[in-house]
Amino acid sequence: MISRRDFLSRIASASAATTFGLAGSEAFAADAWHAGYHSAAKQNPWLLAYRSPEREHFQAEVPVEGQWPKSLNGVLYRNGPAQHDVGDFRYRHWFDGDGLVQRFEVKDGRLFHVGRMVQTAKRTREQNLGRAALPAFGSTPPDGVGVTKADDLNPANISMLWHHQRLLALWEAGSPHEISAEDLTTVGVHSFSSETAGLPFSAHPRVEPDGTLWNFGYASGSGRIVLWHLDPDGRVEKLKALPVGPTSMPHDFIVTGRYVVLLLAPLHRESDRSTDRGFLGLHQWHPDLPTRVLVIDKNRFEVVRELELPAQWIFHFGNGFDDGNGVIRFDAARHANPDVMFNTLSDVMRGRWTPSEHARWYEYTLDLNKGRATETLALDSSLGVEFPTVNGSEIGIPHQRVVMLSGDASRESRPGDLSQVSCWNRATGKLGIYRYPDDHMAEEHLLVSDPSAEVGQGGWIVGTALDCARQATCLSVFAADRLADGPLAQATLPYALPLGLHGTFVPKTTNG
Amino acid sequence: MAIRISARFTAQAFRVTVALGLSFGLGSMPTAAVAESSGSNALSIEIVNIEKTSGPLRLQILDSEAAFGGSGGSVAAFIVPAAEGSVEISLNSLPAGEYAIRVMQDLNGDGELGTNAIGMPNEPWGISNDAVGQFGPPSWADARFSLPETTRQTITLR
Repeated sequence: MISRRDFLSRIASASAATTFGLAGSEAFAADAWHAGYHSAAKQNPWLLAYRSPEREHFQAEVPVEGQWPKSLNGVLYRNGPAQHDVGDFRYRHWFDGDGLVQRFEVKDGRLFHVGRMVQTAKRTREQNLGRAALPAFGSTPPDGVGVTKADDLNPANISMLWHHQRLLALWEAGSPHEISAEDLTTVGVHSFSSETAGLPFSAHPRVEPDGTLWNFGYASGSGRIVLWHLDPDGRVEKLKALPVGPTSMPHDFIVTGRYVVLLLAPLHRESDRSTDRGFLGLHQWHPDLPTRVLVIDKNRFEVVRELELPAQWIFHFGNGFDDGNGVIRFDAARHANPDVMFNTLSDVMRGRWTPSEHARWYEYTLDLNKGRATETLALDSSLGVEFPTVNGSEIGIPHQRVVMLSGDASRESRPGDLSQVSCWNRATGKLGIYRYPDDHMAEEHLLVSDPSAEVGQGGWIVGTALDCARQATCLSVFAADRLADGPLAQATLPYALPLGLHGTFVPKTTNG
Repeated sequence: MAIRISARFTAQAFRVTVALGLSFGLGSMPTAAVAESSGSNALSIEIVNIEKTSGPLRLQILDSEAAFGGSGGSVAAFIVPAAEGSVEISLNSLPAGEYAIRVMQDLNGDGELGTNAIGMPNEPWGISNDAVGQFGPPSWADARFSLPETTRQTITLR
């Protein structure tokens, strides 16, 4: 028999975790953000990056210029927020819009591209209502409708995962959506088991070379972070809801041979209601508090050590590994604070550029024996970085190279700043850089192995960029160790796609 | 018993008087206070969107923000069988005042609202005014209603 207090607290924690609805104090006839963006976009070509797609479905076949490597066979899948306007409502944050998933495949000298909006329950509901009605990461549309679980407002808009022969579009506070690998139609919400249905699954799972998958997901309303361990067939090996309050919103994490490492920035959720800034508006930044470092035993999912680092904001890590004797190392794109998320990536939605400080590349050491966490600037401070990626074969072990976008951090940030692709070779200390032409805005680039090359050498870098002058998205491939030479091959689509977030390259051999 | 509860099923007429204290916890149920109340206000409660009949509905009537927030007892708590679609419950004799209602369907018969690893219900539940929160729990302000002004509450199971 349950006590009343229990019943209420269960309802309350349930709601706190995932109940959303009744939003919208921001009532107005005309949306100033909508008008602001569309007016500014006529003057500023870079705002093309934040334009909603004009259709649900993109399909094109275009020639590849240059020499596409013969042994580079596979599909690049990408995802990102795209539906930035719903009716006359303009989202207040880049991270809000419904996901647009994309598929790039080169065959016989031609690029075949498909793009399609993810048909989430949220999208269907708003299409039926004919308006924006669900609170989002950084927006609270007026006259919001009631919602009772996180997946009711899941836009499936952050990243793609290929695992156990399934293609999944990931958000970070709810379930993955399964997507058809060929035509990108939405199959539906994917549950790894009935017991784990609806639990948060972050957009940055770490998959070890044997297919073992580790992930986390924040359920901030309940003060817990879910830890996932899946086997190569997608079955839940173990799962834990770790109480962590006060809760933050970690976007990425680290897995080493023995540990899972979570950094909890002092961005604390301190409210259950947000008048105009969605989920983000529930949070408060505390620059005087440390970043908590939770070191978790991978086999038991128990916190074995908690360390501290100075306040900082990290979206993305490179990779982590441990020496087997209690020393963990990892690297990350370190922001001094979350200003870029609160200000820059919000104001672009109303057509304004608000500069914020770049992230820099840092290396970290956690010494569990001495109970010490240290951080070191690893690349020149004039180099601003983001979207780091490493080769999938090096997850959890010492990695040779990190590919990331970079730009000039010695001056105030400007639109399209991160238009360089960089390859940082940790072993040799060499930093290769290719700078896209002006008017290009680069998107995440991935390091793809060459099966015939030695581990940590050779291979390719594959990625996309938006050419704002030609109003077209292009796909490029580079030789990873000769990045400065420029693209080996490039293909330009007959349309511009909104700037996206993360993708995955699926080699043909495992793509069936 | 001061409060008479009748439950009328959509398919068949059904009348039941439920002793207080049967449901969400016996210990702190303020049965005496209820038994002594002498109100005369009627309230119809309709529970809708009932998809399964395999578990009873457990309801609580609360009369303060503190009680809604988990401290303090309920005015009434009772169990009624579920019927597909909807169930209607008539209360008489409630004193004038402010109230909120919580309901859950105990599908597995364990007497508790089933939840997943992060405390999210995996059994149906609902709150008066169909209140939901935004990014947190529904508030008393969202869920409350007044007697005698309100005579009917329709609560959707979620």
